[in-house]
Amino acid sequence: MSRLLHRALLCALFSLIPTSLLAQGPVYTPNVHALTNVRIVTSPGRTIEQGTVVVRDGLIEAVGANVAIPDDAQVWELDSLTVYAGLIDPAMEVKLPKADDEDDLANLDHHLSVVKSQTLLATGMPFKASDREARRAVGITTARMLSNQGAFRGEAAIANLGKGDLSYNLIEGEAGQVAAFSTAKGGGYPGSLMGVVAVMRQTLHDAQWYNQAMTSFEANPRGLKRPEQNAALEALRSVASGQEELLFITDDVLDLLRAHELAAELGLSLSYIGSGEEYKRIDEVKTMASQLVLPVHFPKAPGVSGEEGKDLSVSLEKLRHWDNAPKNPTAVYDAGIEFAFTAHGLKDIGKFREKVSEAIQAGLPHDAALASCTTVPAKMLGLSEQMGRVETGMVANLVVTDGAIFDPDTKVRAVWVDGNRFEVQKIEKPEGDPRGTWDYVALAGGAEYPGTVILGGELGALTATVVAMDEEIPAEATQSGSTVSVVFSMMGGQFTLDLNINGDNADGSGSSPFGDFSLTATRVKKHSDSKPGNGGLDR
Amino acid sequence: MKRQKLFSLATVVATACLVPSLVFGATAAGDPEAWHANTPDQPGAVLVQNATIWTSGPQGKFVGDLLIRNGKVAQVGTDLSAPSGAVVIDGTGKHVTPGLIDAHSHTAIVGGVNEGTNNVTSEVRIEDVVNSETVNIYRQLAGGLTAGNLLHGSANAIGGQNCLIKMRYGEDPEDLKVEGRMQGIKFALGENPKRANWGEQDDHYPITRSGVEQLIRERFTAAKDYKERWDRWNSSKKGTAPKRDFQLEALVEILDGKRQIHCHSYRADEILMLMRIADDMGFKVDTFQHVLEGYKVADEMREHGAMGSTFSDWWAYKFEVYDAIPYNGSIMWDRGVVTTFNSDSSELARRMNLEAAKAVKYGGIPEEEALKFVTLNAAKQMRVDDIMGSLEAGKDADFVIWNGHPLSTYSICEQTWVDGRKYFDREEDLAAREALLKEREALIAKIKDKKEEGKEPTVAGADDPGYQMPEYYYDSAETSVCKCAAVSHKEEECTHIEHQKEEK
Repeated sequence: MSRLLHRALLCALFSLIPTSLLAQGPVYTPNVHALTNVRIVTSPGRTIEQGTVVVRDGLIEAVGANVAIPDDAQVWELDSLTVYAGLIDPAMEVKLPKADDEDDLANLDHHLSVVKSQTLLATGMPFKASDREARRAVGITTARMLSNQGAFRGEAAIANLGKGDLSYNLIEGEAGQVAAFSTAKGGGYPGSLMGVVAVMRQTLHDAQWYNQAMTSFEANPRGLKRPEQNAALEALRSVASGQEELLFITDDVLDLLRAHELAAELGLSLSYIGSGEEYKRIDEVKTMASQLVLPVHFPKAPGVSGEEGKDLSVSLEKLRHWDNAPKNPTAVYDAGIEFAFTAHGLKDIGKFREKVSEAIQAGLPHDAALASCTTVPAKMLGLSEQMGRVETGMVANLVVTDGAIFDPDTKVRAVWVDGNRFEVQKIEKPEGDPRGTWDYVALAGGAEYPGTVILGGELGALTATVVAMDEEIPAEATQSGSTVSVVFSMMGGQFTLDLNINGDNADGSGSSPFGDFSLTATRVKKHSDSKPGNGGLDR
Repeated sequence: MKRQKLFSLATVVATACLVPSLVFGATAAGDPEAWHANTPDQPGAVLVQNATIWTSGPQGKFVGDLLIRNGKVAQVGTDLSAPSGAVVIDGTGKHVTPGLIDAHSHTAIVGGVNEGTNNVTSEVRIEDVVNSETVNIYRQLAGGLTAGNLLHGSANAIGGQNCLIKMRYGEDPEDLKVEGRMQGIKFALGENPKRANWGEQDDHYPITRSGVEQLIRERFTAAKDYKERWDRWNSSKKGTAPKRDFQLEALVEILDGKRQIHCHSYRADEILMLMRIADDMGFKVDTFQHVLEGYKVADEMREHGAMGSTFSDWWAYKFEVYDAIPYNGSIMWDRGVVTTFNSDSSELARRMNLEAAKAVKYGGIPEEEALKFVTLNAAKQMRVDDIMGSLEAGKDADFVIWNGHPLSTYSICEQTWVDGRKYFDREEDLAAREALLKEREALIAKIKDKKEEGKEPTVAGADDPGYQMPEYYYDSAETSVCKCAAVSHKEEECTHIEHQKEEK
């Protein structure tokens, strides 16, 4: 089938949808909901024991014990469940493709590869469905995303973690400059920590100079030589002049002290992503940071064996940190520092709530923990009037649980992002090998739409390509039990295919911007592990 | 300045209920973690009585008393009376020396001792990466060391800026630094900056000794240019100010006599070469480091005003040091060069008194002069001899109490005081070990209890190594000179001794 014909068929199929809506992108119906008979924690410490939350077009329209359910609402009876504001993660690191080769520098880039302040994360980052799903599963509905590359990492982005493309989820595309003490990869300058500090000092001075030169020139160009343009320095102008905060990612407590010294020297304003060991130098940290983002990557216990108490193979330092790490948030809390939690640094995002609950067991008040995941990060991100609380006019980012949100036994039942409901599914251990080439047929409105999915990679880390409309489209695939979910973008929207695999046959369902459909598929070719041959050159 | 003991040993032990409560108040002397160590008190007055006092100053050596007030030496003499409330120490049979000073150290540096990627890195600063958390500081205190000159490595002709610290174990990086003094910089000559025989080095410059010379001349010429640009602008203040260049600013400071040079060197010819550049450009070289052929050019060094900081008895570890002799120190000293022995090693820095003793063994230097190799002369080399290096009224109260002659291999450091605070006490250290062991046992028991409750799975091993100790637990001197540390800072992977050789 030709691509044009296919497209024409699709259009015909969804001709009932007004074209104006198609042009706007995905449409979700119904978009009025009432979550009723539910316990509502509107903000830390404030609860409505039984009430209703009305959601309309992605916003909370009404909240209360005696709220009338609108006629056009889909009603969700949530007896014995609790609804919270969606959790906000102020530090989600996004892995960018490597770009450290200095030969690849663009015209206006900085000559040092670690200076990437010109990076606008929102314009170039992967917005992976699997990353979003993993966070939604623990109740995180919004994140500030940070690049993982460079000493100066460029502008962060804030986005909701809902469905669709970044454009539908993006809240703030220039959410502040980010820095970290990272050396150049691949042997370039700077190769040492002190080299990174020297580069930061020089670059920030350069940006201050650039800012002055540009400001003079912009005010009165006549008679002044035009300053040399540099995108990296341009991006740092307001940070270097102390007008905008620089967000510093720290890996240990000395990083924080060092960043503070540099900022004091240069007159910068800093905020920090903490390391989790602030307790070690809490008196110093208290004088340096009024706000912190804290990780909850508390370590597993060190392995101990042998005769009681005589195991010398594990250091006292390790034992102590294991014991102290969960107390770190309490130490920061007791020091009067406002803080927000992040899942940053967790190997398994799914452990986020469990780890916060460890902090509570170690002494952190429950409401402080909840605030650190909702109201405090909302404030940090300048979003207090949009999220962090279940109140009228807020974005409908919600978490529905069957108990207190940080109780280790509590399950997240559903998550709402921008008024769209997501079932939370637990990822099961992969069953069977789904790899190979699958021909599928999508059934929608009585018409058949064929396509192909090629699953490869490793078990547990599948790769996928979809061939549809004569186009090869890169896709993401995740396996849970015997179900494989494939997500890809086409025609300006996001498509998902969920295949329940049984041998070489599969059935399932899918979703698209235009509606849902059912699926059948057959494996036409098994995955082959063999490496490509060398053409017999050996012989 | 100091943290609360929020996560004290007492808390852990108390919750585990394993030991009697009298341990709770104990000072955690000898704690393996700096953040967990207490800042020792600074008594208003301390009097050490009836000890053999090696002043390293004009009063020489005698049996008498040392009086400390508010962190400074108040008086050194005989029959001093104790002010009221003074801490009085009976020094009978003991020896007291100034705190030892290491003129060449790479201890307490985090994230690499070399910025080895460029041939000139005068913009990088050790002061940005002082590692307050390393236990090496405490271990060196236990050998009587009270200050160390933390130097950048020798990978480049013009290296990074150094930092003088005092061994105030437990304080944060800022509080270790000796502030307000002239700062220095590391230079390096010979094999390490040229690396001609280090295998393939595609675009490395310089690769010859003459190249090293030209590179240094070129950079100082550029620095003079830079200075002129600023002078011109400062006289008119018209238009945009020149852009600051931190690399050249450090060199301008050298030209202005505001920054001292510590130069890694071995051979006589290269030592003379740098002094000739200095004469041509109008600056001074304060110290030559290692300077193993210093004995050949001691007169020229003295005339230039250069001092020498050498190894006591290391030689033949690479070709350019084949002419080294253990008499180097005594010959330089004999010709009037201010001479020190240094450690260049976190381990050797724990017994610098024995290095000094080798100046007696090789060349018969008088004992008091030999001790100055690790006290007053080191202070002179860092230009801090007005505040440390000898026991004289008004200087910092940095001193060591030994149980015998300080140059004897049989003597033990009993106490080390910095700024009138007792940072090391051998008796307290030994006494605290029991408490540390109990703390460990309590934590291990806690893990085992949790494991039995099925709550806390222990670390599985290779697939999940658990908590990775922060980089600062591994002093850079022990890791970053190792090739393996380029990719990893895991201590077990380091072939420390091999690479230490390369560094020198």
